[in-house]
Amino acid sequence: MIKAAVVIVLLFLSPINLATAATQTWSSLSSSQKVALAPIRGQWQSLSDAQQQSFLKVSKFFPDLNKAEKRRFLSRLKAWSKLTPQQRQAARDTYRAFSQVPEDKREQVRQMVKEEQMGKGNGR
Amino acid sequence: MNNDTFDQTPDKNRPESIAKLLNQSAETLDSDTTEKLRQARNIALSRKPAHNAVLALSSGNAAHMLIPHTPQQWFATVILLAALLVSLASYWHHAAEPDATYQDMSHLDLAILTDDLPMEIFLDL
Amino acid sequence: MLPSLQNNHEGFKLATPAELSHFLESVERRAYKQALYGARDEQFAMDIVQNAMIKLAEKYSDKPVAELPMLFQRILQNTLRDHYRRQKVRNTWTSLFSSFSGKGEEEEFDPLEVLQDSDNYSAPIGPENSLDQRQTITIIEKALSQLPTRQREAFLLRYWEGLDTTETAAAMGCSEGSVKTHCSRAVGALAKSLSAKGVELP
Repeated sequence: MIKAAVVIVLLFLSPINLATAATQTWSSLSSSQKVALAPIRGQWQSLSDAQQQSFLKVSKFFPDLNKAEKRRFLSRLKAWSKLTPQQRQAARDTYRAFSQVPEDKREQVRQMVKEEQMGKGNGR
Repeated sequence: MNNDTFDQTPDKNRPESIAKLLNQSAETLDSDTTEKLRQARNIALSRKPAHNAVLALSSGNAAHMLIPHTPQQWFATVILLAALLVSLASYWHHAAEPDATYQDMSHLDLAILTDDLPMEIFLDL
Repeated sequence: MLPSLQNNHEGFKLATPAELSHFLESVERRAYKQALYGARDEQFAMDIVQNAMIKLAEKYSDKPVAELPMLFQRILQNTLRDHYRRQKVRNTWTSLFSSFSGKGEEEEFDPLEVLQDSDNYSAPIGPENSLDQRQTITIIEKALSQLPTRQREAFLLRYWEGLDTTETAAAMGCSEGSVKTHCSRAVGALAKSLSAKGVELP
Protein backbone atom coordinates (compact mmCIF):
# COMPACT_ATOMS: atom_id res chain seq x y z
CA MET A 1 0.00 0.00 0.00
CA ILE A 2 2.67 2.44 1.05
CA LYS A 3 4.87 1.49 -1.89
CA ALA A 4 2.01 2.22 -4.25
CA ALA A 5 1.51 5.55 -2.63
CA VAL A 6 5.16 6.44 -2.97
CA VAL A 7 5.18 5.44 -6.63
CA ILE A 8 2.15 7.58 -7.31
CA VAL A 9 3.71 10.56 -5.57
CA LEU A 10 6.87 10.18 -7.61
CA LEU A 11 4.88 9.88 -10.81
CA PHE A 12 3.12 13.11 -10.02
CA LEU A 13 6.29 14.99 -9.30
CA SER A 14 8.62 13.86 -12.07
CA PRO A 15 7.17 15.88 -14.99
CA ILE A 16 7.95 19.03 -13.08
CA ASN A 17 11.62 18.23 -12.86
CA LEU A 18 11.94 17.45 -16.55
CA ALA A 19 10.72 20.85 -17.64
CA THR A 20 13.38 23.02 -16.04
CA ALA A 21 17.00 23.69 -17.05
CA ALA A 22 19.87 22.70 -14.82
CA THR A 23 20.52 24.99 -11.90
CA GLN A 24 23.80 26.83 -12.05
CA THR A 25 25.90 27.04 -8.97
CA TRP A 26 27.51 30.36 -8.17
CA SER A 27 30.98 28.98 -8.63
CA SER A 28 30.17 27.90 -12.18
CA LEU A 29 29.59 31.53 -13.26
CA SER A 30 32.19 33.45 -15.21
CA SER A 31 34.08 36.17 -13.41
CA SER A 32 32.30 38.98 -15.27
CA GLN A 33 28.95 37.42 -14.39
CA LYS A 34 30.02 37.24 -10.77
CA VAL A 35 30.97 40.92 -10.80
CA ALA A 36 27.62 42.01 -12.21
CA LEU A 37 25.54 39.74 -9.99
CA ALA A 38 27.52 40.12 -6.77
CA PRO A 39 24.64 41.80 -4.92
CA ILE A 40 22.51 38.67 -5.25
CA ARG A 41 25.19 36.14 -4.50
CA GLY A 42 23.45 35.27 -1.25
CA GLN A 43 20.15 34.52 -2.99
CA TRP A 44 21.58 32.81 -6.05
CA GLN A 45 20.97 29.25 -4.87
CA SER A 46 17.39 29.99 -3.91
CA LEU A 47 16.47 31.46 -7.27
CA SER A 48 14.53 29.30 -9.69
CA ASP A 49 16.27 28.22 -12.86
CA ALA A 50 14.17 30.60 -14.93
CA GLN A 51 15.07 33.48 -12.67
CA GLN A 52 18.74 32.60 -12.79
CA GLN A 53 18.56 32.63 -16.58
CA SER A 54 17.02 36.09 -16.68
CA PHE A 55 19.69 37.47 -14.35
CA LEU A 56 22.44 35.93 -16.40
CA LYS A 57 20.97 37.50 -19.52
CA VAL A 58 20.91 40.95 -18.01
CA SER A 59 24.42 40.60 -16.60
CA LYS A 60 25.74 40.53 -20.15
CA PHE A 61 25.11 44.25 -20.48
CA PHE A 62 26.95 45.17 -17.32
CA PRO A 63 30.49 45.72 -18.62
CA ASP A 64 29.34 48.33 -21.14
CA LEU A 65 27.39 50.46 -18.66
CA ASN A 66 28.75 53.80 -17.59
CA LYS A 67 29.68 54.47 -14.01
CA ALA A 68 26.32 55.87 -12.93
CA GLU A 69 24.44 53.07 -14.63
CA LYS A 70 26.65 50.45 -13.00
CA ARG A 71 26.01 52.06 -9.65
CA ARG A 72 22.25 52.01 -10.15
CA PHE A 73 22.30 48.47 -11.48
CA LEU A 74 24.14 47.13 -8.48
CA SER A 75 22.07 49.04 -5.96
CA ARG A 76 18.76 47.88 -7.44
CA LEU A 77 19.60 44.28 -8.21
CA LYS A 78 18.82 42.84 -4.82
CA ALA A 79 15.43 44.53 -4.57
CA TRP A 80 14.62 43.42 -8.09
CA SER A 81 15.41 39.85 -7.21
CA LYS A 82 13.10 39.97 -4.23
CA LEU A 83 10.05 40.93 -6.24
CA THR A 84 7.57 38.31 -7.32
CA PRO A 85 7.65 37.29 -10.97
CA GLN A 86 4.30 39.02 -11.38
CA GLN A 87 5.69 42.25 -9.99
CA ARG A 88 8.65 42.10 -12.33
CA GLN A 89 6.37 41.50 -15.28
CA ALA A 90 4.17 44.42 -14.28
CA ALA A 91 7.22 46.65 -14.09
CA ARG A 92 8.32 45.54 -17.53
CA ASP A 93 4.90 46.32 -18.96
CA THR A 94 4.99 49.73 -17.37
CA TYR A 95 8.40 50.47 -18.72
CA ARG A 96 7.37 49.36 -22.17
CA ALA A 97 4.40 51.72 -22.10
CA PHE A 98 6.65 54.50 -20.88
CA SER A 99 9.04 54.08 -23.74
CA GLN A 100 6.22 54.46 -26.27
CA VAL A 101 5.70 58.03 -25.08
CA PRO A 102 7.50 60.80 -27.05
CA GLU A 103 10.93 61.73 -25.83
CA ASP A 104 10.12 65.26 -24.68
CA LYS A 105 7.27 64.04 -22.49
CA ARG A 106 9.49 61.43 -20.98
CA GLU A 107 12.03 64.12 -20.22
CA GLN A 108 9.35 66.15 -18.45
CA VAL A 109 8.61 63.20 -16.22
CA ARG A 110 12.27 62.72 -15.39
CA GLN A 111 12.57 66.37 -14.51
CA MET A 112 9.51 66.28 -12.25
CA VAL A 113 10.75 63.25 -10.40
CA LYS A 114 14.19 64.76 -9.97
CA GLU A 115 12.72 67.91 -8.48
CA GLU A 116 10.46 65.90 -6.23
CA GLN A 117 13.40 63.93 -4.93
CA MET A 118 15.45 67.03 -4.24
CA GLY A 119 12.64 68.61 -2.28
CA LYS A 120 12.24 65.49 -0.19
CA GLY A 121 14.82 66.62 2.33
CA ASN A 122 12.59 69.34 3.74
CA GLY A 123 9.19 69.40 5.39
CA ARG A 124 7.73 66.21 6.91
CA MET B 1 -8.64 74.91 32.79
CA ASN B 2 -7.12 72.51 30.32
CA ASN B 3 -4.87 69.85 31.81
CA ASP B 4 -2.88 69.13 28.68
CA THR B 5 0.38 70.62 29.80
CA PHE B 6 2.25 70.15 26.55
CA ASP B 7 -0.05 72.47 24.66
CA GLN B 8 1.76 75.74 24.61
CA THR B 9 -0.80 77.68 22.60
CA PRO B 10 -2.19 80.79 24.29
CA ASP B 11 -5.80 79.77 23.73
CA LYS B 12 -6.00 76.25 25.12
CA ASN B 13 -9.58 75.81 24.04
CA ARG B 14 -8.81 75.88 20.37
CA PRO B 15 -8.32 72.16 19.69
CA GLU B 16 -11.62 71.39 21.35
CA SER B 17 -13.39 74.17 19.48
CA ILE B 18 -11.91 72.96 16.23
CA ALA B 19 -13.04 69.46 17.01
CA LYS B 20 -16.59 70.69 17.62
CA LEU B 21 -16.70 72.38 14.25
CA LEU B 22 -15.21 69.33 12.56
CA ASN B 23 -17.99 67.30 14.12
CA GLN B 24 -20.55 69.61 12.61
CA SER B 25 -18.91 69.22 9.25
CA ALA B 26 -19.02 65.46 9.59
CA GLU B 27 -22.65 65.52 10.68
CA THR B 28 -23.74 67.44 7.59
CA LEU B 29 -22.34 65.13 4.95
CA ASP B 30 -24.60 64.83 1.93
CA SER B 31 -26.88 61.82 1.62
CA ASP B 32 -24.97 60.39 -1.34
CA THR B 33 -21.86 60.13 0.77
CA THR B 34 -23.61 58.77 3.84
CA GLU B 35 -25.31 56.16 1.73
CA LYS B 36 -21.97 55.08 0.26
CA LEU B 37 -20.54 54.88 3.76
CA ARG B 38 -23.41 52.73 4.87
CA GLN B 39 -22.82 50.39 1.93
CA ALA B 40 -19.11 50.27 2.67
CA ARG B 41 -19.89 49.37 6.26
CA ASN B 42 -22.21 46.58 5.21
CA ILE B 43 -19.64 45.18 2.82
CA ALA B 44 -17.05 45.16 5.59
CA LEU B 45 -19.42 43.49 8.03
CA SER B 46 -20.30 40.79 5.53
CA ARG B 47 -16.67 39.66 5.45
CA LYS B 48 -16.43 36.73 7.76
CA PRO B 49 -13.03 36.56 9.46
CA ALA B 50 -11.24 33.46 8.11
CA HIS B 51 -9.74 32.30 11.36
CA ASN B 52 -13.07 31.45 12.93
CA ALA B 53 -13.11 28.31 10.79
CA VAL B 54 -9.64 27.42 12.01
CA LEU B 55 -10.70 27.82 15.61
CA ALA B 56 -13.52 25.38 15.00
CA LEU B 57 -11.13 22.82 13.57
CA SER B 58 -8.76 23.01 16.48
CA SER B 59 -11.32 21.67 18.88
CA GLY B 60 -10.31 18.17 20.00
CA ASN B 61 -13.00 16.28 18.13
CA ALA B 62 -12.13 17.70 14.72
CA ALA B 63 -8.40 17.09 15.18
CA HIS B 64 -9.05 13.46 15.97
CA MET B 65 -10.83 13.10 12.67
CA LEU B 66 -7.98 14.55 10.65
CA ILE B 67 -5.22 12.19 11.79
CA PRO B 68 -5.05 9.07 9.61
CA HIS B 69 -5.49 5.83 11.49
CA THR B 70 -6.20 3.02 9.08
CA PRO B 71 -4.00 2.21 6.07
CA GLN B 72 -6.79 3.40 3.80
CA GLN B 73 -6.72 6.74 5.52
CA TRP B 74 -2.95 6.97 5.13
CA PHE B 75 -3.24 6.22 1.44
CA ALA B 76 -5.89 8.86 0.99
CA THR B 77 -3.75 11.38 2.85
CA VAL B 78 -0.72 10.67 0.69
CA ILE B 79 -2.74 11.04 -2.50
CA LEU B 80 -4.17 14.29 -1.24
CA LEU B 81 -0.71 15.55 -0.38
CA ALA B 82 0.66 14.51 -3.75
CA ALA B 83 -2.16 16.28 -5.54
CA LEU B 84 -1.50 19.35 -3.45
CA LEU B 85 2.20 19.24 -4.28
CA VAL B 86 1.46 18.90 -7.97
CA SER B 87 -0.84 21.88 -8.04
CA LEU B 88 1.62 23.93 -6.02
CA ALA B 89 4.51 22.96 -8.23
CA SER B 90 2.69 23.78 -11.45
CA TYR B 91 1.56 27.08 -9.96
CA TRP B 92 5.13 28.07 -9.18
CA HIS B 93 6.32 26.83 -12.52
CA HIS B 94 3.83 28.94 -14.42
CA ALA B 95 4.15 31.86 -12.11
CA ALA B 96 7.87 31.87 -12.72
CA GLU B 97 7.46 31.86 -16.46
CA PRO B 98 7.47 35.61 -16.98
CA ASP B 99 11.18 35.53 -16.32
CA ALA B 100 11.93 32.87 -18.92
CA THR B 101 9.52 33.22 -21.78
CA TYR B 102 10.69 32.72 -25.33
CA GLN B 103 10.87 36.49 -25.58
CA ASP B 104 14.13 37.92 -24.37
CA MET B 105 13.16 40.60 -21.94
CA SER B 106 16.56 41.41 -20.61
CA HIS B 107 16.55 44.82 -22.27
CA LEU B 108 13.54 45.84 -20.20
CA ASP B 109 15.11 44.48 -17.05
CA LEU B 110 18.27 46.37 -17.76
CA ALA B 111 16.38 49.58 -18.46
CA ILE B 112 14.53 49.33 -15.19
CA LEU B 113 17.73 48.59 -13.33
CA THR B 114 19.70 51.46 -14.80
CA ASP B 115 17.20 54.19 -15.63
CA ASP B 116 17.72 57.42 -13.76
CA LEU B 117 14.08 57.18 -12.76
CA PRO B 118 13.84 55.24 -9.51
CA MET B 119 12.67 51.66 -9.79
CA GLU B 120 9.63 52.26 -7.60
CA ILE B 121 8.08 54.39 -10.30
CA PHE B 122 7.57 51.30 -12.39
CA LEU B 123 6.28 49.20 -9.57
CA ASP B 124 3.58 51.15 -7.90
CA LEU B 125 0.93 51.54 -10.56
CA MET C 1 -15.42 63.08 21.17
CA LEU C 2 -15.11 59.42 21.93
CA PRO C 3 -13.78 58.37 25.28
CA SER C 4 -10.41 56.69 25.08
CA LEU C 5 -9.59 53.28 26.57
CA GLN C 6 -12.37 52.35 28.88
CA ASN C 7 -11.29 50.82 32.11
CA ASN C 8 -14.54 49.12 32.87
CA HIS C 9 -15.04 45.40 32.61
CA GLU C 10 -17.26 45.70 29.58
CA GLY C 11 -14.48 47.15 27.48
CA PHE C 12 -12.40 44.01 27.54
CA LYS C 13 -14.99 41.58 26.23
CA LEU C 14 -14.48 40.52 22.66
CA ALA C 15 -16.46 42.60 20.21
CA THR C 16 -19.70 41.10 19.01
CA PRO C 17 -20.79 41.64 15.43
CA ALA C 18 -23.36 44.10 16.72
CA GLU C 19 -20.68 46.03 18.57
CA LEU C 20 -18.43 46.06 15.52
CA SER C 21 -21.29 47.36 13.45
CA HIS C 22 -22.08 50.00 16.00
CA PHE C 23 -18.46 51.07 16.18
CA LEU C 24 -18.13 51.41 12.43
CA GLU C 25 -21.33 53.38 12.26
CA SER C 26 -20.07 55.78 14.91
CA VAL C 27 -16.72 56.36 13.25
CA GLU C 28 -17.41 56.24 9.53
CA ARG C 29 -18.22 59.90 8.95
CA ARG C 30 -15.12 61.16 10.76
CA ALA C 31 -13.05 58.51 9.02
CA TYR C 32 -14.32 59.69 5.66
CA LYS C 33 -13.52 63.30 6.56
CA GLN C 34 -10.06 62.35 7.76
CA ALA C 35 -9.39 60.55 4.52
CA LEU C 36 -10.75 63.54 2.61
CA TYR C 37 -8.45 66.01 4.38
CA GLY C 38 -5.51 63.82 3.47
CA ALA C 39 -6.38 62.56 0.02
CA ARG C 40 -8.34 65.64 -1.13
CA ASP C 41 -10.51 63.55 -3.39
CA GLU C 42 -13.93 62.16 -2.58
CA GLN C 43 -13.57 58.93 -4.49
CA PHE C 44 -10.16 58.12 -3.03
CA ALA C 45 -11.41 59.02 0.42
CA MET C 46 -14.33 56.62 0.09
CA ASP C 47 -12.07 53.84 -1.18
CA ILE C 48 -9.68 54.40 1.69
CA VAL C 49 -12.42 54.26 4.30
CA GLN C 50 -13.95 51.18 2.77
CA ASN C 51 -10.61 49.38 2.68
CA ALA C 52 -9.95 50.30 6.28
CA MET C 53 -13.34 49.00 7.37
CA ILE C 54 -12.84 45.76 5.51
CA LYS C 55 -9.41 45.23 7.02
CA LEU C 56 -10.78 45.84 10.49
CA ALA C 57 -13.66 43.42 10.01
CA GLU C 58 -11.48 40.73 8.50
CA LYS C 59 -8.63 40.79 10.96
CA TYR C 60 -9.66 42.45 14.18
CA SER C 61 -13.32 41.79 14.69
CA ASP C 62 -12.57 39.58 17.66
CA LYS C 63 -10.58 42.16 19.59
CA PRO C 64 -11.90 43.84 22.73
CA VAL C 65 -14.31 46.62 21.94
CA ALA C 66 -12.09 49.12 23.73
CA GLU C 67 -9.25 48.47 21.30
CA LEU C 68 -11.30 49.02 18.16
CA PRO C 69 -10.85 52.82 17.99
CA MET C 70 -7.05 52.63 18.09
CA LEU C 71 -6.91 49.62 15.77
CA PHE C 72 -9.19 51.20 13.24
CA GLN C 73 -7.22 54.43 13.29
CA ARG C 74 -4.00 52.52 12.78
CA ILE C 75 -5.49 50.75 9.78
CA LEU C 76 -6.91 54.01 8.42
CA GLN C 77 -3.59 55.85 8.74
CA ASN C 78 -1.71 53.00 7.09
CA THR C 79 -4.21 52.86 4.26
CA LEU C 80 -3.89 56.61 3.80
CA ARG C 81 -0.12 56.30 3.75
CA ASP C 82 -0.32 53.66 1.05
CA HIS C 83 -2.49 56.04 -0.89
CA TYR C 84 -0.01 58.93 -0.58
CA ARG C 85 2.77 56.70 -1.82
CA ARG C 86 0.80 55.52 -4.82
CA GLN C 87 -0.50 58.98 -5.53
CA LYS C 88 2.97 60.37 -5.94
CA VAL C 89 3.56 57.83 -8.66
CA ARG C 90 0.09 58.25 -10.19
CA ASN C 91 0.54 62.01 -10.43
CA THR C 92 3.66 61.48 -12.43
CA TRP C 93 1.81 59.33 -14.92
CA THR C 94 -1.34 61.47 -14.96
CA SER C 95 0.48 64.62 -15.92
CA LEU C 96 2.45 62.68 -18.47
CA PHE C 97 -0.54 61.19 -20.19
CA SER C 98 -2.73 64.26 -19.96
CA SER C 99 -0.13 66.39 -21.66
CA PHE C 100 0.56 63.59 -24.09
CA SER C 101 -3.08 63.52 -25.17
CA GLY C 102 -2.89 67.22 -25.87
CA LYS C 103 -5.20 68.43 -23.13
CA GLY C 104 -2.53 70.61 -21.66
CA GLU C 105 -1.73 70.93 -18.00
CA GLU C 106 -4.67 69.64 -16.02
CA GLU C 107 -5.01 71.28 -12.69
CA GLU C 108 -5.40 68.95 -9.80
CA PHE C 109 -8.98 69.33 -8.65
CA ASP C 110 -9.16 70.24 -5.01
CA PRO C 111 -12.76 70.04 -3.78
CA LEU C 112 -11.93 72.27 -0.85
CA GLU C 113 -10.76 74.98 -3.20
CA VAL C 114 -14.28 75.27 -4.58
CA LEU C 115 -15.69 75.95 -1.17
CA GLN C 116 -13.17 78.46 -0.07
CA ASP C 117 -14.21 81.38 -2.25
CA SER C 118 -17.20 82.75 -0.36
CA ASP C 119 -18.43 84.71 -3.37
CA ASN C 120 -18.88 81.53 -5.35
CA TYR C 121 -20.06 79.51 -2.40
CA SER C 122 -22.92 77.40 -3.56
CA ALA C 123 -23.11 74.52 -1.13
CA PRO C 124 -26.45 74.11 0.62
CA ILE C 125 -26.69 75.78 3.99
CA GLY C 126 -28.29 73.63 6.66
CA PRO C 127 -30.72 75.21 9.07
CA GLU C 128 -28.38 74.51 11.99
CA ASN C 129 -25.35 76.22 10.51
CA SER C 130 -24.98 79.88 9.79
CA LEU C 131 -23.07 80.99 6.74
CA ASP C 132 -20.35 82.26 9.05
CA GLN C 133 -19.92 78.89 10.60
CA ARG C 134 -19.78 77.13 7.25
CA GLN C 135 -17.06 79.50 6.12
CA THR C 136 -15.11 78.92 9.30
CA ILE C 137 -15.39 75.18 8.85
CA THR C 138 -14.18 75.46 5.30
CA ILE C 139 -11.16 77.49 6.37
CA ILE C 140 -10.33 75.02 9.11
CA GLU C 141 -10.65 72.05 6.79
CA LYS C 142 -8.41 73.69 4.24
CA ALA C 143 -5.82 74.49 6.90
CA LEU C 144 -5.99 70.91 8.11
CA SER C 145 -5.33 69.43 4.73
CA GLN C 146 -2.35 71.73 4.32
CA LEU C 147 -0.69 70.55 7.49
CA PRO C 148 2.22 68.17 7.16
CA THR C 149 0.84 64.63 7.18
CA ARG C 150 2.19 63.58 10.56
CA GLN C 151 0.94 66.73 12.24
CA ARG C 152 -2.52 66.33 10.80
CA GLU C 153 -2.64 62.68 11.86
CA ALA C 154 -1.57 63.45 15.41
CA PHE C 155 -3.98 66.35 15.74
CA LEU C 156 -7.02 64.49 14.43
CA LEU C 157 -6.30 61.35 16.39
CA ARG C 158 -5.76 63.20 19.68
CA TYR C 159 -8.41 65.89 19.43
CA TRP C 160 -11.03 64.59 17.09
CA GLU C 161 -10.98 60.86 17.64
CA GLY C 162 -10.12 61.40 21.27
CA LEU C 163 -7.36 58.80 21.45
CA ASP C 164 -4.89 59.27 24.25
CA THR C 165 -1.17 59.69 23.60
CA THR C 166 -0.43 55.99 23.90
CA GLU C 167 -3.18 55.01 21.50
CA THR C 168 -2.20 57.76 19.09
CA ALA C 169 1.39 56.55 19.09
CA ALA C 170 0.18 53.02 18.42
CA ALA C 171 -2.08 54.21 15.61
CA MET C 172 0.62 56.35 14.02
CA GLY C 173 3.47 53.93 14.53
CA CYS C 174 5.74 56.32 16.41
CA SER C 175 6.79 57.17 19.95
CA GLU C 176 4.65 59.09 22.37
CA GLY C 177 7.24 61.85 22.38
CA SER C 178 6.82 62.21 18.63
CA VAL C 179 3.06 62.35 19.08
CA LYS C 180 3.41 65.25 21.50
CA THR C 181 5.75 67.08 19.20
CA HIS C 182 3.52 66.60 16.16
CA CYS C 183 0.48 67.64 18.17
CA SER C 184 1.90 70.85 19.54
CA ARG C 185 3.23 71.81 16.13
CA ALA C 186 -0.14 71.13 14.57
CA VAL C 187 -1.97 73.16 17.17
CA GLY C 188 0.46 76.01 16.68
CA ALA C 189 0.28 75.87 12.91
CA LEU C 190 -3.52 75.79 12.90
CA ALA C 191 -3.79 78.62 15.40
CA LYS C 192 -1.43 80.66 13.29
CA SER C 193 -3.22 80.07 10.02
CA LEU C 194 -6.65 80.61 11.56
CA SER C 195 -5.78 83.94 13.08
CA ALA C 196 -4.08 84.93 9.84
CA LYS C 197 -7.46 84.40 8.16
CA GLY C 198 -9.14 86.39 10.88
CA VAL C 199 -10.99 83.44 12.30
CA GLU C 200 -11.85 83.57 15.96
CA LEU C 201 -13.24 80.49 17.55
CA PRO C 202 -15.84 80.66 20.37
